[in-house]
Amino acid sequence: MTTGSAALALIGDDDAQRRQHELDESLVQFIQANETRIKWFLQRICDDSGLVEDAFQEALIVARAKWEVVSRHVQPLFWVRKTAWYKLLTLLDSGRDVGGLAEIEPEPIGDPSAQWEAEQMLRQLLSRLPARQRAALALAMDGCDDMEIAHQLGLALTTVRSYKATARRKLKELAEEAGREAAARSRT
Amino acid sequence: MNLDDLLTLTAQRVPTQLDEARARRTARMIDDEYVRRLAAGIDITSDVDLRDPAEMDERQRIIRSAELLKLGTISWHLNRSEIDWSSEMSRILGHAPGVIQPSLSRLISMIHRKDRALVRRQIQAAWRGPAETEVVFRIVKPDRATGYVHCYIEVITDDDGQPTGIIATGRDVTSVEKARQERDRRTLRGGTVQPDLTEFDPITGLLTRQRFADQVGRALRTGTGTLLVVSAPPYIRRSSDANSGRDDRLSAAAAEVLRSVAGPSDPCGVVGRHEFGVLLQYTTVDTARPKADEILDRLRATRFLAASARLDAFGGLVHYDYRIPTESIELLFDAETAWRQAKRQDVPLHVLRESPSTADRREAARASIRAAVEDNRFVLFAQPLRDLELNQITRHEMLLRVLDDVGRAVPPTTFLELAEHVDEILTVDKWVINHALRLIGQGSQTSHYQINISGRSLADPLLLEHISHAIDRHAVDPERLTLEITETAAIGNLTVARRFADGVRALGCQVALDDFGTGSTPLSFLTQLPVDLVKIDGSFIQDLPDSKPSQAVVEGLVQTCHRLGILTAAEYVQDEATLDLLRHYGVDFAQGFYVGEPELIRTERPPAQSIELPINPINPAGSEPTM
Repeated sequence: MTTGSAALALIGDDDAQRRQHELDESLVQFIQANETRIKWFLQRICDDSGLVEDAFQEALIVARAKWEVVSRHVQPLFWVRKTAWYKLLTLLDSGRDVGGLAEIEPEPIGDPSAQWEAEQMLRQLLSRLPARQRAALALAMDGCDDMEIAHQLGLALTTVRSYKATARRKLKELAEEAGREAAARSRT
Repeated sequence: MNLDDLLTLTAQRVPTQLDEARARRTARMIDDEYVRRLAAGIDITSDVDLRDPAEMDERQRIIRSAELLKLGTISWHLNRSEIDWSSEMSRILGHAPGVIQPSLSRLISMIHRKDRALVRRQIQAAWRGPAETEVVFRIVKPDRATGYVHCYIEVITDDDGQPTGIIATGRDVTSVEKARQERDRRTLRGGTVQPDLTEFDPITGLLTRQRFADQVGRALRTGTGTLLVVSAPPYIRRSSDANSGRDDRLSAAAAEVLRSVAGPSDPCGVVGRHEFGVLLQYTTVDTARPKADEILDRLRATRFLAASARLDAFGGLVHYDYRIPTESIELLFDAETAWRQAKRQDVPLHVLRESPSTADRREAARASIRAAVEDNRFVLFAQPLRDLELNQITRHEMLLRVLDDVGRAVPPTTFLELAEHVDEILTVDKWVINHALRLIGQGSQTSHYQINISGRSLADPLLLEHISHAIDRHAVDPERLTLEITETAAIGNLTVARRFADGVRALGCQVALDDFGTGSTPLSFLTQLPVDLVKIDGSFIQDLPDSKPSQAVVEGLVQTCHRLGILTAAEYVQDEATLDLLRHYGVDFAQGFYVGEPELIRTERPPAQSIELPINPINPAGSEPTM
């Protein structure tokens, strides 16, 4: 009896271990496929790489704890990204600088020759927008449709549309301004 | 840079997959941290929502999202008559959750009266969009405490895209808002306060007399040293040779000599007309002497400008010591006495080795003032004041001018300062009253005249009687007379001042406060003394069109006076823009070069046609600025 129940328990343990192993594997695969993407999204919202790293880690720790549920979502990426976004907002909020940061003028750069430069320039332009607008635009740039953005950011659909329009308009102005400054500098 | 190009370029980047080893490392790190927190009993999942966002409806999703971020929500649905708010929002509004029933009328009553229209506008704008709007407004809590709330206002739509409701997501931003206000206030204040008090004379670039005296005063309290005062008037034979433009150039050139000989750490200032001071700190008369000699030599040797003008330079050097209490005005007086001594002896420099006792100095100063009065070394000028409502000259201020060694009329600032300091101002004031009233009595008395009296003189119980007699003697209409109390010296005794002002008004005259806003007259005098007119100090008017701080002061002061039934006048008006502003603020009278320069009153001539007092311009040297 004792052996039998021990054996049963052993089988159960085995089963649990196997399932846990599978879960671990699927989390590794998820990380392999999405880490850069999630971080890229966070970096387009927040200039502080330390906060980005923290938000990413916090979201993944929750995902690790509840991977069994999360991995069954239609889009686990959306959930993790959403959670990372909340974590980031909370981090930004707790570190809210009551003294106020002076608005830093972006360094105008010339025409980007490489993708990396383009990305840096984009982030500089984005840094002039409010976080919620940046997030909506960052998701749109990552290929999400309006509904998907609304889901991930916890916004109304009409809000997503107005954010995208506003953010684009502002970015366009900023890009033209930066272009003019760069042109003016290259002339001198 | 084109935004679309930029977006295309950045979109081309497909997020690279990590290699497996790196992903495993990340997973391991996450796992370690997870295990650590589990062991430490740290809560991991309570503040997240495990539901798939795609499974919630829009309203739920927004409310849930707000909850996770610890934000409050207020929601309204088209088909429901009442609004709802979350527990967190209830707390933000100052009520324990569940205590009061959410209702629109209650919400409106909690919003600060002045912010209700703004909130309504932002909600309407969101609905019209439909688009998200933001608003910051004040709420008044049950205990009357006020807080600031920031809300995102979002419009909920149905599957057909038709708006069906509104959700506001809010947070308490009182501390953030207060910090922002404080930051704004500091920024504003930084722009409205003078960066420093250093004031330079515009012609010479040296310190003004006042600021130089400050420097002297500071040196007097902290150490020993010497003060050199140099008189360097242009060498002229007749007063008609004078030319103010050339005078200015000479002053500037003399200042240049001073600056080049004096070190960068020796403060130099203008102490009078063609009179300059150099403060030589930590020197004795013996160590300072070479520098003093060099300054005088170079001033005397230089032939300035083409007009073959030569400077007639005399210097007075005095020693000071913090152990012997002296005031800056006294030390300046000593140095001025010393250069006059040099001039009498016709030597370049007189060194005063032994400073006189306070009593001796005072006696000497008083004697020199009494002598000036006895010798009639004064003249009176009149400067017009324009009534800004009628837009015509209706008043004149009688201005005292002191005649200098060569008979030129110079502004009396230094002289009056000394006279007040040694309590000999009453003699001067009486001279002014006698002569001004005589001149007025000789004219046709169609203007209104303003005469200056020192605040110090009010203490004399006989002054009122003196004025009364002079009015009678010269048959002056008292209603055409305003006595301006100058602010330079504090009105010592309020009861005495009050009695004087009441007495003056009983005679039928009016009372004005001169140079209001810079001297020692407190605001309370406006209610404690029966003042009819306040003359706003020229320093607020000088650069009025360019100075927001001055505009704020003048506008506020005019409003205050207006509500107290006090007339206002502005001095130093130099252009039309200033005049326009003053008119806009409701200032009653304007005075200054732009309105009219002070002109010598000549009594020997018959009255001029339009102006009541016979006023004629004299040569330019006499047309001193009153500023």
